[in-house]
Amino acid sequence: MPAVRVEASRGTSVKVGDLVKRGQKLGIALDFRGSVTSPVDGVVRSVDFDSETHSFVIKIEEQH
Amino acid sequence: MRRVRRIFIKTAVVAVAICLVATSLIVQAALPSAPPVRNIILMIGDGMGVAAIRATQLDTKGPDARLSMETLPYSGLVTTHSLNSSITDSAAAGTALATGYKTNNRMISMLPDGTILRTVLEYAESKGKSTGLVVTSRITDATPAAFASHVMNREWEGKAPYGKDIALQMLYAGVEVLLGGGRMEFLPTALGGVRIDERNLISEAFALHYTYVETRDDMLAVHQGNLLGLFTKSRMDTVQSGLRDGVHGTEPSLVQMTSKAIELLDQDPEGFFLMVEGSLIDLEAHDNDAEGVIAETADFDAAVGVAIAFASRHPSTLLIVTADHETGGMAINGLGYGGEGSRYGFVFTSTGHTGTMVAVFASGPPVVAGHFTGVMDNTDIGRIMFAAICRFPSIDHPRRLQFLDFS
Repeated sequence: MPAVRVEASRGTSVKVGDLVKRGQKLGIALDFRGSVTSPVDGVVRSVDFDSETHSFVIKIEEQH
Repeated sequence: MRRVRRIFIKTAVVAVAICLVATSLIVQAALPSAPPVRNIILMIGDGMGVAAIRATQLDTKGPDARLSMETLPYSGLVTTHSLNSSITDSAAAGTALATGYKTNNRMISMLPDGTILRTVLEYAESKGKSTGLVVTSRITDATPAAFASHVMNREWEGKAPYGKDIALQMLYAGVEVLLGGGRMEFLPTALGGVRIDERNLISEAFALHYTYVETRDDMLAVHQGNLLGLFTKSRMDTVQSGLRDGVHGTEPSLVQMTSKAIELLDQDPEGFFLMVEGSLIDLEAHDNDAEGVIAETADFDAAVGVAIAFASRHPSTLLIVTADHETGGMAINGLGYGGEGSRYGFVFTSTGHTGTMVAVFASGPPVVAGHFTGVMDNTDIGRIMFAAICRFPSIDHPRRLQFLDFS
């Protein structure tokens, strides 16, 4: 299941259960340079805060 | 004519000399024999917004009671924006508090052009004071890192692509007391750590005359000297886990760590600088867990109570309680946790940080503590602490402190 990481300071614009499109913005990159987008069309299955890197790990189940 | 000129010059020289002596005497008379502040205790609730404070008050004491931090005589609001964002992170916010300067998010006590910023902890050390850092996150996390290291990226905790990482800098910064989690940042990969330079900083700590401990009981048994306590591999456990209540498990509570740090640092006749952070309010707020936010804030407030008790016996102590930023956009709207039939309800509007102002509370010598009123910037807090350590008896205005000699 694809997973992306977004910087936690800005939070994330999706929550568990949300349908996302490929290219949809999910949050800000860890270096604050640019956005992080969904790599696939799918459903958000988990959004977990990672205190190690102060980021959110978003797992997306691909759906065709 | 020449004789008249000589007399004039001699008279002018004598007059100038008299003025200089008189000015010096006046200034000397205005300066007290000792600076008004001997100790500084800075307490930071990471992510602790005003709503979190009020929610904790409502949930634990009721609407008319006050938390310990709210009993301090001076209070105000603080803006927290960083150099490149209206919404800061703990790195830039910690830098502002530690140095009096703003920087970009993710940077630790450095400007974007690479300039290293002197921190108030380093300044305190240079003035002969003892220093300490106490947290419930990793000791190398952004907030404590901002006081004892300088890196371009907050992630360089136990390894850096170039230069020295946070753990290495912190260990050799001369900080007398370091308490928190993050053992893995100090150990080589061969011992389960993350250090790819394969250095064992815990072994090196012994050579630096640290007493090293990993449990609450061992920490409580130390009564003098330098102390390095790394109680978990990464961050410490949350209050809700039940493992950090000072009784169960092996981790000390924030109250116990704060008490121990003060006990050790107060032995320095020159006084001390101590930063204590309630680190995991932020974690719970990112998870939008109101119950967790309240538990961590209450735990932090209990540690504030320890500091207040010490400061009440030592009036030359400047005590500051604030937050680096707000997390979660917490609101009290009668719904959410505690709502639906209860009097209160707490909800969140974000999973990230917000740009709202945070509170500051302070006590201590009025000539210094009295500046913590009204609306101020987080850099003002850093600059007031610098000025409190140098021998100026009064602070005209925080913004003018940039012209003071901090050497």
